[in-house]
Amino acid sequence: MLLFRSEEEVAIWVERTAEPRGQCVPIASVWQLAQLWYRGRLSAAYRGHSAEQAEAIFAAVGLTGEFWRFSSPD
Amino acid sequence: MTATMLTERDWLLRAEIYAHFVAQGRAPTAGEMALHLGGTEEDLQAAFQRLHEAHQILLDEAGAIRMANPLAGQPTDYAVLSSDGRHSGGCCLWANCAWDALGVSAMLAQDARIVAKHPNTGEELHFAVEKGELRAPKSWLVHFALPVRRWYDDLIHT
Repeated sequence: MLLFRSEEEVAIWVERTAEPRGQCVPIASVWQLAQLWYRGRLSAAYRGHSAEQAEAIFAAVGLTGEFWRFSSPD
Repeated sequence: MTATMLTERDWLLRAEIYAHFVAQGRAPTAGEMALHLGGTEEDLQAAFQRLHEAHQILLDEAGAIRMANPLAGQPTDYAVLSSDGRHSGGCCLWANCAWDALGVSAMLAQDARIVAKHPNTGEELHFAVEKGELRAPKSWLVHFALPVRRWYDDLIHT
């Protein structure tokens, strides 16, 4: 997950590297995501995120749709 | 995501790996964890492997810890400095990506200054968390190249 200053810079990177064009998320949303995802990671009680928990975290910061799901619908 | 069955001792080891990482600024070896927790280096290396298979850490080909998200076991393009410019273990902690750089601040519940390397130009991009608030231009964004169902196909590339 790489940091860019604009969508135009992402387009240049995709063209330069031939890497896939995925989804761009505003850095403010990524900060929210980081807090939900990593809060408590140092705790001995941490037991990982299930796929359902992970998808709920994505949804809480507005990241929904097929791209943000761990399994494809049958 | 955590289908591999881990024992309570494995989970304890996970927490101790993170504690060591944060305190020392680098990933521990299996030998160091054996000295700290007891057991043989071989036992601890086997536990490292179980944590790897459960996606709790990522090992390199030699069995050393390459990632314990959000932390990176080697220098990357994302350096995270505490608000006073240093972490206890040295100059900084390294994060695996832009999301993880913010994740270090979130995980530690500490303000941070982040120095990232621009993917196209190599120039430094500076942003920060101050008093729990993000300080970065609103227009900046993070590109997620792969859908989440493919993240564990190749975590380094992701």
